[in-house]
Parts: sequence; structure tokens; C-alpha cells
Amino acid sequence: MSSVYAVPRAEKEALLLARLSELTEHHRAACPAYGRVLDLIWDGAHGPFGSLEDVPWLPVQLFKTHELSSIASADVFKVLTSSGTTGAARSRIVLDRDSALAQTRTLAAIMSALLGSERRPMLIVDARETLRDRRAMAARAAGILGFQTFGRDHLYALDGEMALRREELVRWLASHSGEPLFVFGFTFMVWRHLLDALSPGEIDLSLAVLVHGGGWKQLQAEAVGAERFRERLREVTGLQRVASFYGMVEQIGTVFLECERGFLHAPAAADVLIRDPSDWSVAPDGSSGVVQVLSALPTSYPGHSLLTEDLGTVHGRDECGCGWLGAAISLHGRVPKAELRGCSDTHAATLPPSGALPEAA
Amino acid sequence: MTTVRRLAPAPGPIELEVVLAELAAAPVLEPFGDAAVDALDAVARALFRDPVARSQPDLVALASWLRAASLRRLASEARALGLRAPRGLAFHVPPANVEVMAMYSLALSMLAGNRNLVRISSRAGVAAERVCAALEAALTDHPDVRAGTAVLSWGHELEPTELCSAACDVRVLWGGDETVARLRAVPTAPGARDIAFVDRFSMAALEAGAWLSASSRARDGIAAQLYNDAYWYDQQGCSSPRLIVWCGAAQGARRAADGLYARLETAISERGYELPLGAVTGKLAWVAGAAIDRPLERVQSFGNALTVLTLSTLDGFDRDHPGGGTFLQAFVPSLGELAPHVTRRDQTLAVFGFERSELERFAGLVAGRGIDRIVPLGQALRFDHRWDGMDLLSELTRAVAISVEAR
Repeated sequence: MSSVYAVPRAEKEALLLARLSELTEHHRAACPAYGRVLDLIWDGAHGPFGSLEDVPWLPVQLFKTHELSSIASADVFKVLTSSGTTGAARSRIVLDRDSALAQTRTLAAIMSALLGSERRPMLIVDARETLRDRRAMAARAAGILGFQTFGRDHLYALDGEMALRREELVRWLASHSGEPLFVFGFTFMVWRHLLDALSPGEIDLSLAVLVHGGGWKQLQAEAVGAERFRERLREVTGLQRVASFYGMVEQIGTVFLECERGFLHAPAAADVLIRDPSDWSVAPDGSSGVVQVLSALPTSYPGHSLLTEDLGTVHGRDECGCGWLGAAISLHGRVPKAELRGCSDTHAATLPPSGALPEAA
Repeated sequence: MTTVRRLAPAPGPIELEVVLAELAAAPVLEPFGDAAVDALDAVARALFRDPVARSQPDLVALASWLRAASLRRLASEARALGLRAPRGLAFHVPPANVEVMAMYSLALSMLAGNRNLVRISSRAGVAAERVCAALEAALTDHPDVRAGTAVLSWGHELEPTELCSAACDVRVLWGGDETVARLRAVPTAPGARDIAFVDRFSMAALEAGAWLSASSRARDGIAAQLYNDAYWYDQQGCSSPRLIVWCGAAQGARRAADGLYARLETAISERGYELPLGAVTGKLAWVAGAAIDRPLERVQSFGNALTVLTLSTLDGFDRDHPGGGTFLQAFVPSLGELAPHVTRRDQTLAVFGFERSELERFAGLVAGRGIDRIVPLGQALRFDHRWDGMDLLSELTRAVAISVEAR
């Protein structure tokens, strides 16, 4: 369909390996803090590496406590901060002009695989006010700002009270009747403020593609998972194509989009390894473990190889029935927070039972 | 009326006002007298009868400490303090992480003749549950002590804490700096006093030469003792060693260190100690941060449960620490070189291989700054009524002065 999902495994791994080796050396030279981590924790590991699994990684939480930069402060073009509950530490990611541009371009290429190259009229399932409240709603605001460039003639579906702007929506849909649409929103917002507010058949989104993120956590109490979510979208709006995404501010350009079969795919510029937490070796495809993400993009900060706090499984590489190439993964939630209480029970570094609802962040 | 949960005696929901009235009406006990010793000995016996308690080393240690023979020794030591009177009602807020501490705190205060109200964390687990069961079983035959004892639990609400604080004569606050600061903000009666135990840091010192001349079996024993001190509370107790200081000639000391960690790694796997995944990932991030911020010359990882970070200097030593089997390590020519780096926050020094005179010299060098306890390796967690530089038997009683000449 498009180039980001059309690079075969061998070719992609060779390109990525060369690029990640080069990035490791680049950041070693440009970011002394990263160099210290390589020296002390990775025994001074040097590229070129023999395989992707040999590329040193950083724990993603490190960006919450340390600002790691490979650029001069004069070249800082943008600082991204992660979402986070009040009080929790947030990641700080520094971008220069080039890396910001590379990320926008890569994300555009990924989105065009789903939406086509023409920009579609875009319905945002949120309120314009969300953008103003940058602190409280950082994740939602950043999501909207990041994705709005992939649509045109934007309509915010909700007002400041999170009520559906029914008349405006109906008018906007009428003006775009027969056109392919792009709907974007956070999973919980779509469920609670769009689907709950509509009766079946009231609006027609059968020509729309929905991109949603933010995870299932808030819907877990109602036992809403991916299946139920899709089903209800179909029933209420006729919308057929739903894609969640997996991405993080620490690797913002290379998001993983959900394919028609329900798997998240690594784009050409990224890859994923699953690590067995008992010894951090790479777990074979099909088994569950801690997700390590690799990205060819980060040049302004050493974020090209990160151990996340997400649990997931690689189901196959270049084998998905949807036709997209690249690792196809599913996620099983976050590594549960553990407060060492000093109690005498022994606890194992094992994975929580699978079967938990998949979560896109 | 404020409803709380009473865990012992007579478990069940109860109004706090009723509990406070009952405690106020309870008989006053003679300090360091037989009533409390006998009641606590009954608690010890109840714990020894309990198969669950018997399987937990910290409860076994508690039960041994509570036995009449051990308490009589304590009581006679306390009588040397002179004429003492109970303070009245003691309100204990033990730490959530070291559950048995509730019973040590309660027992010392009972011995001092106080009436006692203990607030147990609502997150408390098995150890607290077994202690309450033992109290419930034992105190039936000791009605005077029973009448003056209440172990309670409540949620995050402030009101019960306010009521207990207003009613008590002494408040015993265990926990981190934050907890203590929060509780201290709750007013007590003007004449009441606080005994507060704040965040502390502990370390171990080993004499490299003594290690090198020890037999293989003795070395296994030392590793096992370090395991007990460090891992029992996930290295999160105030007394759990977190910094290891090797004293002696550099080359031998490094060889000694390698030998110790190899044996410690074996001890960890033999005992099946593992960390929850969230703690492991948190520790990985902490260690990466330490590699950036601290003067490290080496980081060694022996699996998820043992990481050793060797410092090139103790200058500016940062005591922030993630627990879970993370050892900062330093090499110094002699124990005296550690002294300038000791601060008020340092509590326990667990030692191996030093002469007593050397330890006394060290204690003199750090006097007025830190280190309240110097104990043999393996005894870092052992409770003592002298804690954080205070003698609790003295703190929990009032000194009565009679300055009338004998006729």
C-alpha cells in the first residue's frame, strides 16, 4: 500500500542496524551522559553491532529524571514533554529543527498508508478548549496538534462542557457528503462523548477512518475492549475502519498503527524487540515480555533504542494477513508499578497473567 | 462519632471515642513491673504456637525478644534509670514497611507502664495480622494490660489521627521524613511530646584482610549475613545496609569484593529472592541515572536482584537509593577514612573483621554527627531499645525527682 509497510524484513533490519550503530556512535560523541551509560553499564559497547539485539538500550524512564541532549542548547527548536498524571515526573525530549522535521515527515508517511495521500476533512472528537489547557490535558492536546496536520477543514465535535455539538456536526457532515473522512480522538472520549451521545443511524461515518489512542484503562470498568469498541462504532455510526496507535513522546515520529487485523505494525523506520525480564535476553516471537522500541529517527537525543514499560508480544514479522510488512505486535498493558515495601514476601519478576486488555498509549 | 477498626483486643468496628474512654479508665501499671512482662511473655508464647508466625524469621525474632527472660533483663536495666513514672497514653504510628516494629514499639511502652493506642497501616499484611492474633489470644488472661491496649486501623482520613493526637501524652512516630512531618503537623496536647524516627541510611564496613584470611565456609557465612541484613526488607529498612565500605589495601580489597558478590549472588538464588518487575525496571532506570550523575568507576550486574556500583570517591556521597539489592561500594585504606563522610542521616554500621578498639576510635571520630549503632554484620535489623540514639525506655517514661532528705 505504501512504502512504510513495504520494506521486507532482511532489508529493513540491515538498514536499521547500520543506522542504529551510527546513532549510538553519534550520541556517544554528542551526549556525554549517554557516553557514561555506555561505558559503565554497557561495558563501553561500540558499533557496528552484529544484530539489532546487541544495540544498547536506555530505560525510557531515564528521560523523566534526566534531560539527555545531543545538540547545543542554541539549537533546541522544541522541547516535548510526556503526558503524566499531576505530580508524576514527565519526560523531556529536546528536538532541533532537523529532528522535528524528520519526525513530522515520518509520521506523515505512516498516516498516508492509512488515509491516502489526499488530506481528508477531519473530525476531532474533543473540544477546541482542550488545546488551551496545555498543562492538564498535555497528552490530548499534543495528540490533536500532532495529528491535525493530516486532515483539513477540521471540526471539533465537542464543546467546552464535552457535550456533542450536534447541529454543527450534522451541517459539517452534510457539506462533506460522499467524501472520505478522518476522525481522530482519544479512545475514552470517542466512547463516552461521541458514541454515548448518539443514537444508531443518527450520523453516517461509513466513509471515515478513525484513529484513536490513549488506551483502554478508563473503559476497563465497563469491560470495553477493542472488539466491543469496533462493534459499537459500526452499530451507531457505520464506521468500519478503526486504527489505534502505539507511540510515545520519546520516539514520537515512529508510531505503530493498528492494521485491519488488529495488530500494531512497526513502520519502516522502527522495529521492536520483546525482552524476557528474567535475564533481558530477546524473547522469541510469540512470547510475551517487555517491549523495546528501536527508531532510526532520534538524532537530537539518544532515544533510538529504548526499553519501555509496556508489555507486549510480537506475533510475526512480514506475515500479517493484512498485507502490511513489519513486526505485528499486540500490547498487554504496562509493567505494574511496584513499590518495594520491604515486606518479607518474595515476589517474582514474572509477567502478569496475559489476557488483560490490550492498551495503546 | 468516628468509627475505626479495632484489630486487637476484640476485633471489629468501634467508635474511637469509646476506645479513648476505655483507655482513659484503664488501670495504671507499675513501670518495668511484672504485669507487662507476664502479658508480653504470653504474646511470645502465642506467636511460638502460631505455625504461620513460626515460619517468618522476623516474627520468630520478635517472639524471642518478647520472652520473659529477655524482658526481665531489660526491666532491670531500666530500673537503673532511677525513679520512673509512665507518661500516660502513648499513641504509636509504626512504619508501614516493617510491620513487626508496631509490636516492639507497643511492648516497650507497655513495659514503661503506659496505656497504648497503636495505629496499624490499612495496607498491613501477614506479620501485623499474626501479631494482632497473638495479642488477642494472650491478653485475655491479663485484663489490666488488655484494658490499656488498643490496636486500631483506619483509612486516609485525618480525624482519627487528630483525636488520638489530642488525647495522648506521647506520640511515637515511625516512618519516612514526609510521614513524620505530616503527622507532626497534627497538634497534640501542650504537654505531650513526640518521639520521631525519620529516614535513615545504613552501611556495612568490611575489613578486606579479615575476609581474605577467612575460610571458604566463613565467607559463605558472611555473605549469608549480608543477605539477611540487606534483603529481608528489600533493602528498604532504615537499618538495611546500602553502602559497602571495604577497608584495607586496594588490590586485596577488590579481590575480597569480587569474592563476596559471587557468594551473595549464590545466596540470593538459593533463597529464591526475586524482585517484582516494576521494581526491576525502576532500578534499571535508577542505575542508568547513577551512571550519569555519580562518580562511578564500575557498575556490575549479577542478575536483577544484585547490582554493585563502585564509587571512585565518597566525596559528596548521595544517599538516594532504590533498594532491592543495589549496593554502592567504596574502597578506603582504613575505617577512619569513612568518618569524614558520615552525616546525621547515617544510622547503622554493620561490621565484619574489625578490632573493637578500632570501632571505638571510629565512634569517637563520628561522634556528634551520625551512626547510632555499630553491630556485627547479620544483626543490622535486630531491634534494640536504644534506637536512633534514644533509649526508648527512658523516653517513654518520666523521671520523678524526690529531693527530700531521708530521715
